[in-house]
Amino acid sequence: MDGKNTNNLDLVFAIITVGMILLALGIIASVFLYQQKLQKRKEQIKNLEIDYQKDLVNSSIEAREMEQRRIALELHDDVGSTLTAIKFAIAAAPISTDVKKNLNENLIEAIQKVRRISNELLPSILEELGLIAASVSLVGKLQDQIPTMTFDIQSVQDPPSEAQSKEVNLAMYRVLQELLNNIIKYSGATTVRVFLQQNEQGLQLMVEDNGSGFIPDDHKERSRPTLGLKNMKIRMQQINGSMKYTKLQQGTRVEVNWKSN
Amino acid sequence: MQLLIYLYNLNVWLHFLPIILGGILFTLKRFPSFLLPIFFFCCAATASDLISVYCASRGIHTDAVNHGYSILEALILLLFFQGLIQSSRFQRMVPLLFDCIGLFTVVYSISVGLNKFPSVQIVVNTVMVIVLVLFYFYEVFYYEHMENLSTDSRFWIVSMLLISYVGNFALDLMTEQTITGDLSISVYYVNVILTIMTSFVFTFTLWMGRIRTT
Repeated sequence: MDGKNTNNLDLVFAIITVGMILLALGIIASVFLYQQKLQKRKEQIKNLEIDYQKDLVNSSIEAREMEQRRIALELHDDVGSTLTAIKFAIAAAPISTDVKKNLNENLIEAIQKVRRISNELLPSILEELGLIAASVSLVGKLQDQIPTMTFDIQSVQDPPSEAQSKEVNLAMYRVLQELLNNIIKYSGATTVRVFLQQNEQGLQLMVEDNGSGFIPDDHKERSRPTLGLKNMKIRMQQINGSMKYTKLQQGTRVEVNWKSN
Repeated sequence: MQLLIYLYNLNVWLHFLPIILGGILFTLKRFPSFLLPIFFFCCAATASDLISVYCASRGIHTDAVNHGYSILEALILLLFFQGLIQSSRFQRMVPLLFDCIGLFTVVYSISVGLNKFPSVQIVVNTVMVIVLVLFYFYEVFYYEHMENLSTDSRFWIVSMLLISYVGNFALDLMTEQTITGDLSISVYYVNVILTIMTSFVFTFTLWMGRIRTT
């Protein structure tokens, strides 16, 4: 009789214990699965926000390119032709030679400035002669403008890949422009070396300076990344390119790569 | 019966696993401070078991040890959950809970005497742990601050505590029946197996939560 009672109590014990453990396991599993689901949803929202931000920046870059193109064409076609017309008018005007000479000098300076600004906004050489020629021209112009710094460019030009579109050339050119601009503005460098290679596999750009040294990740800790850095990053994302910063003993090396496949 | 004794001895020795790992992590200065209460919990459980084994071998009544252990257990776990649960209302309640538990233990121990198993005290501890675990789970949803529960050592500790306390609940309620022989001694398998699992999970979570050097 006692044995039967013990067995019954053991059974009650077993049912309560197993039931309680199963209930606990059920609660834990529900919490775990539901939390995973919440995290997944949170991640999806975060990704959507990132995509939205990317789209926003992409659109702003595209809009700016379009606006720059429009202003460059206006300057070249409208202001440029007007200035040329004035030049002819001055030549025909009944004024003294000294005044004519003086006016002509000022006018030539104005025409050159308009051309330079137009060219900076829309580098026609980029579309006409390609990335290497435009880059050599850009570096050459900077050397003329800043004689206290030494700019050196080396390039290797093989036939480009079919995938190397106008957009790729423009993105690489703008990145080079921004990198050189940053070096001039912030690095305190005296020498800048540029190496640009174009071949079937893609484009390799390397810009090296002997300035104070700069890594965007270090910069990020101090403040938000600047618009220029952000733009370069977005431009590289647009063409599936990559950028790598290396701090040298003196200065910085930036390697920009775009692969055609 | 032989198997139960074997498992009980194994369980006593396995108590040392998290303590040894905790000691190593302390020495290497990689011990996660938020797991300090769990480390003390393991130390208290081991000390209680060793003292009980010693007392039993000398024929001394061990229920006084159980009284001491159950108060330590409640206070340490309350300390652990204080570091875990963010709710300001709960944080304000913690000193009151400490006082209530302390007062209850003293009153209970005096009223039942130190020679009786503190089953009510243990049931109170179990209820407290279950409530705090459920509160913690609620906060997991409410604050959504955890990135991935599977890599969060706190979640595994809390889950193991819930399984362990819930699994032992019936045994705590029916302790008297095991003493009188109404309940077979084999029910202690549950307690021993859950304690072994707890030792493994605590060791694993200590390793999981260690301070990583880059």
